[in-house]
Amino acid sequence: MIHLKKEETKAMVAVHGWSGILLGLLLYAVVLTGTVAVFAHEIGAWSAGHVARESIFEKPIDATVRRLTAMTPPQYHEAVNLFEIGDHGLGAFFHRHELDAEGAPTESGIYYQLDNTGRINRTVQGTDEEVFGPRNDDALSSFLVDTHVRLHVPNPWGLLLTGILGLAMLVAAISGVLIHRHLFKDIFTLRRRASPVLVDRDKHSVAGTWSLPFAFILAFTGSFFSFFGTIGVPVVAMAAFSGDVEALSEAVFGNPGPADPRPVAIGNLDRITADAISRTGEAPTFLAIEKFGRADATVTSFHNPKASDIEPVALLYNGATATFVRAKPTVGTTPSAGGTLAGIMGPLHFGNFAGILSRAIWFGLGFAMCYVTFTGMRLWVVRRKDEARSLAWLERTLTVVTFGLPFGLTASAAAFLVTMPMGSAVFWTPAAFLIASAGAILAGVVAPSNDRLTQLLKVATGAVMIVLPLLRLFVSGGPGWNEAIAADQPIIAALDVAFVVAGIWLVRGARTTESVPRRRTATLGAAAEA
Amino acid sequence: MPLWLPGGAAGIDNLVFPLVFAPLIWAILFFHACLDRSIARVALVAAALFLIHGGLVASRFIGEAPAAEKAQ
Amino acid sequence: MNMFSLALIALVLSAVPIVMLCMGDPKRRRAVGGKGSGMAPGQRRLLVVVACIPGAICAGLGDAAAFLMWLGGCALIGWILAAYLPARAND
Repeated sequence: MIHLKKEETKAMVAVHGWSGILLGLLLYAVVLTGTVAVFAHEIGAWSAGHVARESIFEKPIDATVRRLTAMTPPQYHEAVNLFEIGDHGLGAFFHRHELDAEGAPTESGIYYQLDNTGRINRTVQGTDEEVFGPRNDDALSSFLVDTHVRLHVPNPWGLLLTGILGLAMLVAAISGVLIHRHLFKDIFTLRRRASPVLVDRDKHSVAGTWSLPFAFILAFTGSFFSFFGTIGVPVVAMAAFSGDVEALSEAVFGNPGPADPRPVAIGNLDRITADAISRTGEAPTFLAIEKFGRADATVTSFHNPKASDIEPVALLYNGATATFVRAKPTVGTTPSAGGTLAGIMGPLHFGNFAGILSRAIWFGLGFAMCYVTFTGMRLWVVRRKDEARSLAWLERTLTVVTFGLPFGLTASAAAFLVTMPMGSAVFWTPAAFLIASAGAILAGVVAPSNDRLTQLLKVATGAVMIVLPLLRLFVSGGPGWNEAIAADQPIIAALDVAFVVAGIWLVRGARTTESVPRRRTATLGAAAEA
Repeated sequence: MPLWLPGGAAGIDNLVFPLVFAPLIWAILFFHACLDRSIARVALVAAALFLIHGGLVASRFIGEAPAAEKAQ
Repeated sequence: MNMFSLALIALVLSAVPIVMLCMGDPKRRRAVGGKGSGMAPGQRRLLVVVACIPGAICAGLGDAAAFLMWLGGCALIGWILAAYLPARAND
C-alpha cells in the first residue's frame, strides 16, 4: 500500500519486530485483561450475584448523606463524591484537596461503603490511593481492571509501564502499515497449506489489517490515560501555570463563579437526582459535590452519553438551593473542541457509549488484537526457530503466557466464587492467579512438546470455565437464572452460558491441535513480498 | 505547546490538545528519527523543537520572576 | 430510528458487499485453489464504495455511536469471513 524504499522497509520491519517481541508478552497481558475488562461491570454483577433492580440514585439518598455528614469530621466537608458500588449500594467519599509529601495534589478523607438499604458496611480513612482498593464483593473485577491499568505495579511505575506498552502498540500499528505493501489485496487471504511462517504471517496480517483503526485508537487512548496524570498534567502545568497543578485542574474542570464561603446546608440531593433523571432519562453514574456546606456549593451529576452521542453528560446544580444551572461539558467550562476531544477519550477506549452492543463489539476487537499480538510473536519465533534451537524456550514462554494467562484469570474467578462467601476474596483472587500461573510455568518446563503444552493449558482453561457456573450457583450461593432474569440481570445467565460454551470450544479445540511441521523458514524477503 | 496554541472556546484547547496528542507527537518524532536518512537532520529537528519550547517555558518563568519580586 | 437500529441496519447492509468481496477476492481464491480469476478490480472498488455508504450515512446523520459500532462491526465481520470462508472452500 505504501511503497517505502528497501532500506526504509528493513528499518520498519526491525522496528515492528523488536517492539513486538520485546514488549509483546506484557502487551498481550494488557490487551487480554482489557478485553475482558470491557465487561468488568457485568462480571462483577455475575460473580457477586447482584440482583438489586434500582440504581441507588433512584431512591432517596439525601437523609443518608446528611447522616454521614454528621458523622464526618468537618475538615473533610470540603467535597463529597457519591457513586454506586456493589449491588446498587452507595459509595460516599467525604474529602478535602491537599498536597502529599511530594507536593502532588491528592484527596484525603473518609470513604463510606453502604449497601442498597443504607446500612454502612465499611468505613475507610486515608488518601484516594489508599481507600479505593478492592472489596470482598468486587475483588474479581477489581483484580482484572488493576492488571490492565498498571499490571499491579505500584503507581506511577505501573502506569508508566502500561503507557510505554501503549506506545509500543502504536509503533507496531504504524510500522505494520508501512511495511505491508499489499494491505488490501491480502485482506481476505489466509493460506493454510503453506510453510508455518506464511501461515502465521497471513493470520497476523489479516487480523491486524481488519482491526487496524481500532488498534490505533486503543493504543493512542490507552497511552493517554496512562501518561495523562503521571507526566502530561505536571508538564502542561509547568508550561502554562508555573507548575500549579491545582490551577490547571481549576481551569479545565472548575466551575467559575464568585466565591461565597458563608456556611449554608447543602440543598436537597433527592431533588437534584430526580431532576437529573428527568432531564436525561437515566440515573447518574456519579455525583460530585464541591464546596460542600457553603453558599457557593456546586453539584455535578454525570450520566452516560445521550442516544447517538458518545460524550458523557454533565449537569451542573447550585448546591445550596438544589436548582439546575446548566448542562456543562465534562471537560472545560463551556463546550469546546478540546473539551469534546478529552471527553471522548474514555468512550473510545472503553466502548461503553451504547450499552451491551458497543461493548460486545469492543470485546470482539480486543480479542482480535490479542490474536494479532499472539500471532505476531509466534511469527517471529517460528521464523527463527529452525535456525536457532535455543529459541525453543521462547516458543514455550510464548505458549505459557498466551494460554497461561486466560488459565490464571479463570482460576482467579473460580477462587473468587469459592472465597467470597467466606469474606477472603481480596486475598484469594490474586493468590489463585499466582498459583495457576506457577502451574502454567511448571507445565511449560515439563511438557514433552510445545503442542502438548498448548493442549494441556487449553483443556485446563476450558475445564475451569465449564465449572464456573456450577461454583457460582452451588458454592457462592449466587442467584439462579429465574431470579436473575426477574431482577433484570439476564447478563448473569448469559455469562453462565458464555463460560460453558467457551469452555467446550477450548476443550474441543485442544483435541484438534495439530503439530506444526518443521520446515525450513521462508526468507525474510519472500515472506514480506508474498 | 500550551504557550502557543490557541485557547479555544473554553480557553483549554491549548492545555488539552498537547495532553491528548502527546502519544501521536511522540510517534511522529520517533518515525522521523527511524526513517530520515540524515541523522544530522534528525538531531537538528529535535534540537530546534527542544530549544524553541524550552525557551518559551523559560521565558515564561523569567517573565514571572520580576513580577513576583515587584509583588514583594 | 434509534442508534441501535441504525447501527444494526448499517452493519447488515455493509455485510452483503463485504461477503461478495471476500468470495470474489482473487488472491483468496488462488490460495484455496478456487476456479476462475476472481472479481474484476473495477467491480471490487465499486463494492468497497457500496460497503462504506451505510457508515457514511450514520456519520452524516451525526450519529457518532452508530458510526463507531458500524466501523467496529464491519472489522469483525471482515475478519470472521476471512477466517472461516477458506475453511469451507477446503471441505
